[in-house]
This record gives sequence, C-alpha cells and structure tokens, in this order.
Amino acid sequence: MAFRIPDKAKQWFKHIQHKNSGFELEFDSYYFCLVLGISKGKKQSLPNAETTEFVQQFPNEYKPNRHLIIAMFLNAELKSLGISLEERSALNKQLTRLIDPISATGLSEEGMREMNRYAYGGFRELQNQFLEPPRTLDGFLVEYYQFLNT
Amino acid sequence: MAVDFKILGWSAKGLRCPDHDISFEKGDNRVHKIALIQMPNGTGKTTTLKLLRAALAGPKIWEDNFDKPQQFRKNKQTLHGQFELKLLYAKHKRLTIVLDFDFSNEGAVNYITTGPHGMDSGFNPPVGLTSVLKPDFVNLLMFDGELAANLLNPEHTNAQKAIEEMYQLLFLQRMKDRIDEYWNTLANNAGSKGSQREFTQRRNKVEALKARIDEVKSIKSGEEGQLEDINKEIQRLENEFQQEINKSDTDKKALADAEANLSSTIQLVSEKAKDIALLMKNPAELSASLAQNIVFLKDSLDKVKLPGIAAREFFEEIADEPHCICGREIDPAIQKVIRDGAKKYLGSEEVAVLNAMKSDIKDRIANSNLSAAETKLEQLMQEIDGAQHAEILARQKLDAIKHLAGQNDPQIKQINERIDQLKEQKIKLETKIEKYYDKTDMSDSSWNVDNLNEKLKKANADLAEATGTISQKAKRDVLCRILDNALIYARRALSEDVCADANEKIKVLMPNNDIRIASIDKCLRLVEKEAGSVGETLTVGYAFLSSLLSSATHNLPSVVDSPTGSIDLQIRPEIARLIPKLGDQFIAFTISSERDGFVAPLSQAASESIYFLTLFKKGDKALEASARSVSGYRESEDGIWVSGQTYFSAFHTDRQE
Repeated sequence: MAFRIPDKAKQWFKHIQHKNSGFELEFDSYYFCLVLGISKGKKQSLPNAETTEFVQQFPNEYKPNRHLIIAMFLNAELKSLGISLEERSALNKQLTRLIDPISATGLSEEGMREMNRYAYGGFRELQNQFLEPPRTLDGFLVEYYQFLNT
Repeated sequence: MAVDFKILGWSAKGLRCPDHDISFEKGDNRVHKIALIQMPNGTGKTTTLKLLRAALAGPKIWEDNFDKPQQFRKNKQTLHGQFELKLLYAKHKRLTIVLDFDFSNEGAVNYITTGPHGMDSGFNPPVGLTSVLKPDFVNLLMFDGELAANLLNPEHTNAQKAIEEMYQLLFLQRMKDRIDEYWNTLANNAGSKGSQREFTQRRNKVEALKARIDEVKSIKSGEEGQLEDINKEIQRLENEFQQEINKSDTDKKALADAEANLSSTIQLVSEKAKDIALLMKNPAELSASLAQNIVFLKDSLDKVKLPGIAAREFFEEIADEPHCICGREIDPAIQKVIRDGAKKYLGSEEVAVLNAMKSDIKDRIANSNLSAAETKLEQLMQEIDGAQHAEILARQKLDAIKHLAGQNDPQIKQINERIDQLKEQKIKLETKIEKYYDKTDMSDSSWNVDNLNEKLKKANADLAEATGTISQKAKRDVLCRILDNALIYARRALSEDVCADANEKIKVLMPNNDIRIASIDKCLRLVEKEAGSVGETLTVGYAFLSSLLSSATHNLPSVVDSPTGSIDLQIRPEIARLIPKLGDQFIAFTISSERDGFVAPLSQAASESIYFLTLFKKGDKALEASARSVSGYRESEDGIWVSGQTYFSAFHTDRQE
C-alpha cells in the first residue's frame, strides 16, 4: 500500500505549492495533514475513490526523517489501541502487525492504511480550522503552527 | 424426440389386492401387445390401476388429489407393502420403479428406481422418459370410465394440454425460456435491459453531458478571456501610470524605491517561509510534544527490551536441531514449545527496522537539545512575523505613493482608480475560474471539463451497451414471436387433426349416433351437447385417445379398466377393433361380463395372440381347486392367478362389490 491523499486536499493546497518554496511536493501536503491528524488524535476513513495514491515510499527530502515519522505514527497508533508501552507481548504483537521490513515504507499494509487514516483526519481538521484554502505559504505555516500548538 | 416404453410386468405385496406377480414378457425384449387381466369385482382392479399410475407418475401424484398411502393397506396388521413395476425402454433398457409403503403412523411411500446405472432412492427415471412420466400424462395412459367422463369436463382434465404433451409442443416454450435465459445473461452482463426508455435515458445523458461540456467550455473561455483582457488592461494602465509618474523625477524615484522595498520584503517572507517549511518537515523540530512522544516510544522499547537480542529465527533454528545447545534432546513436544515461544520474538528484519528507528531517534533527538529546536522554530516564527509586517508596510507605502501621485494629477488618479477596480474584478474572476480546475466535483454539473469528459466517456460506453442490447432484444422479440405463432399454429392444427381423426372413429364405432367432437379446447367439446351417456362418453374417449396415441410418434402402453364397461353390446366389437390402435401395448382389466362381444373381435383385430390372465382372491375353495387343476397356475398367500384363454373364458365368478 502506498501513501494516499484525499483528492480534495490536492485541490486545497494548490495555491501554496510552488517550486523552490519548501512546499512543492504532494508529500508535503500529506505530511502536514498527517502531523495534524496524529497531534489531534484524529483518524478518518475515506473510500479509495475519494483519494489518490501519489507515492510508494518516502521521498528523498523526507528520508532522513522517515524513522521519526514512523515512530511518531507508531506511538499514536499504540496509544489509540490502548496498548501500554510497558506490556512487552502486546507491544510486540502490534509492532509485528504494523511493521513490514520488506515494504518500501517499512510499514505493513495495515500500518499504511492506519497512517493514511491519520492524514485524512488531519486534512479534515485543516478544513475546519481554515475558513478557505490558504493563498500564501507563509500565511498557512503561521496559522498551522499556531493551530498545532493549541 | 419419440418416447418408447413398455410394461414388462409388476408385483404387489401387502396391498389392497391379492399379492401377485405378473409378467408380460415374451423374451427377446418383447411383450404381449394385448393383455386381458380378468379380475372379479372386489379383487383390486382399481387399486392396481392406481398403483400403476403412482409408479409411473412419481411422488408428485401424491401431492394432488390422489389417495392416501393408508388407503392401499391390505389390512390393519400390515405394516409394510410394496409395488414393483418393471419397464422396458429404448428397445432394450430396463427400469424398475418400486413403491415402498410404510403403513406406520400416517403412512408414507418411498420410491426406489433401478436403471442401467444401478439403484437410486427416489423417483429418477431416465431423461428420455421424464416428458411422459408425470401425473397429467400418465392419467391419459391409465384409462377408465372416470377419465373418459373427465375428458368432457374442463374442471378435471385438459385435453389440449394432453395434445401438447404428446406432441412435445412444450419444447417451444422451453426454447423461449432458453432464449430469455440467454438474453437475461446478456442484459445483466451489459448492465442494460434494452428497453427503449433506458436507451432514451442513456442517450439523453450523453447529450446532456455534451451540452454541459460545451457550456462549461464556452463560459470558461469567456471568463478566461475576460481575465486576460483585465490583465492586459491592468498592464497597460500600469505602463501608462508609470509613464505619467516618470514625468516627475521625485514621484518616479519614490515609486521605484517603494516597489523595490516591497519586492525585498516579499522575498524575505518567502525565504523565511521556506526555512520554516523545511524545519517543520522534521516532526521533532516541529513540535516539542511530538519529539517527546517519539523519545518516549524509544525509551519504552528499551525498557521492555524490544527488539530483543535474539530474533525469532534464532529459536526456530534451535527447534530444527535434534539437540539443544545444552545437549538435551529436542523431541516434537519441546520443538512445539520452542516454536510457539519463538512467535513472541520479532523476526531479524523487523528487529533491524526497529533498531534503525531507535538509533535514529537516539542520534537525532534524544541526544539533542529539544528546547533548542523548539526555540529555533519559535525564532523563525517571530522573524516571519516581522517580515510579514514589513511586507504589509511596504505595500501600504507603495499604495500611499501612488495615491499621493494621483492627488496632484487627475489623470493619474483616474488611472489608479481604474487599476484598483480592475484588480478587484481580477480577484473575483480568478475565484470564479478556480471552479474549472476543481477535480473533486464528479457530478454531471461539474465545472471541470476533464471530469465531464470522463463522465461522457462512461455515458458513451453505457449507451453503446444499451444500443447493443437493444439490437439483441429486437432479435429475441422476433424469435419469441415466431415461437409463439408456431405454438398457436401447431396447437390448432394438431387439435383439428386429432379431432377429425377421432370423429372418423366415432362414426365407425357408432354409425347410428351423430355425437361428434366439435373442438378440443381445455376439454373435448361435443357438437350441440355438453355430455353424452356413459357409453357414448367412453366411446368418445376411446376415439380421442386412439387418435391421440396413434398419431404421435411415441410408442407407449395403455392400461384400461373395464374397457367395455357400460358400452352397448353392438358397439363392443367396434371398440375391440379400435383397441390395437391405442398403442404398442394394451393391458385391460376386465370382469367376466365384459367378454361377450369383445374378446372374439379383439382376437381377430389383434396382429398377434392375446395374453389372457385370470386373478382372484382366495376364499372360494371350489374355485381355488379348479385353478390349481390348470397347469402353470400360481398362487400367493391370498390370491391365485392363472394364464390362458381357456380358463379365462370359463371363469364365471362375478361377485359384485
């Protein structure tokens, strides 16, 4: 399974996605949604027809941070499942379920599905927070940072 | 396909007729063409005829208005009864149908069928016989006075259906069913039922989508044209403004400085935004809380020793060895314990992933100063705030310079106002135009031409399917009309033929009687009367059945109860002459009083010698003694049966029920 982004999110971010701006990849949109979904503990399921698969693995720009992103996701997912990080066997079982060393992302199909759900949930949060799609990157980043820390 | 079967014989035991065993076989897979079984009243003629019907028609006959199993019980002590019917079909194949009666409780009948492929429980005749071995059809073959009367009664019989079944007209309906089945599969696969309404709906959808695409293209082109015009006009006015400003060196310099200032503040904001965006791509630097969570995960894994030092494969390898490293033997039970235990450990590759993740966390976060990272982002946020503020000021300053320049020159003021108006229009127009690039609206009223084209492609495919199924439907309709007409024509023609043939026979049978069949509808309809006497009815029935059975290509047996019953003595010879034409095998149950005027002409009309059999219940000692004096007699616990014409003709016992 690959990274998938809601079709509406692609449309929503289009004004701030520019070359050499620091926000030019579709993964950028995905990542900002994912972080928000994880931080706010929001997950949402969307039918595949309403989402687009855009990349199979972490883009180069994110590769240095991929383990941190996975760790951030694992921590949130284990917490949402009510798994205590002191229960070795339960932890072991869930890690086996969510991790797949052979996959390009390091996450299993199930792990990717859950991670995508956090991104969908994060996008919903953005839509609720911003009255309309952002017009400038600086405006978006400032408001995003404020919202993340509230 | 012609159906061919004969009755080889039957046996009965424990039923409401003497236990007996009759065979019509002549050897070499041949049977007696005509057999007369003389049974005094009360011996069980009707019972035997019903058993034959039940055996040939299968279990379905018991669901209709037929006798109950208990009515076939010999007496209250009888718990079990059996009727076995042996048939010959397809010239040499044998089929045995057994009715097994269980008289306990309410009584039940179980069928057992034995054919070339062995014994089966249930009624399983070969496919070639299934078209005739069913209740309605079998009733025609098992003829008695009751059936003859019923042939004239629309509530009891369906003569028309008998003709259709005899001539296999039902195949026309089956062909229609198959065509329908094929059509439905085709329509389901195509997702179209091929109705004109559906076709119209799909065509309308295609037309509507085409119209929508044209409309969207036209409006989009108009609005984009307007935007282009506005941009050009703004550009032209700005040039004009610039030219006017250039006339004053002071204004020119102030404007250039303000624009340069704005440009540099915009640049600064972009650079700060880029720095922030890049920094935010590291979740640990984006949020201290996220960083703490990530470190907490690593610490927790460390605490519970995950991943462990040993990977799952290590234990699996030990389980594969005959001995443990401590030297102890590893038997299958220990092997299972080790393997189950190994499942608690991560695989070596999973271990590698987790170790890499932990190592990264350690290097990137745990050992770094988290508050410093947060401070860095905070710092950048403050810087961008300052840059944004500077940009706003630069814009305000530029606007003020333009405004001031306009105050001194009405023309510049006018240009400025016009530029402002156009910029407002431009923003509105740009917002309007956004909808043409919104790919999320997949409805038929979408403003996105790509989406509409996708929908049009699908609608065209649906229309093509409907068009395809419509042409198939037209073919199906033609075929079905042909089959319907063929059925109507064949039904009418066959009825008229059978009717004309039967009337010819009636004329011969009753030359002084003008009773005739007018038509064959649900029942036989007589000319100018609804019913005849019992004799007339029986004669008409014979005529109809002999016409029906002799015209078709089937070779079927007929079994008749009391063939001359209430028929006048002078008509009996004619009936007797008709009987050989009733089919390939004729079996009749008679009583002694029917012999006069019947047996002699029947013997003359028959192409070969008749098989005579007399069957009666034990009880009359003198009669039993006379039967036992005949060579070849056979007897059971309660019955005696004697073959041969001499005994048949001399038998006078005639006890009325």
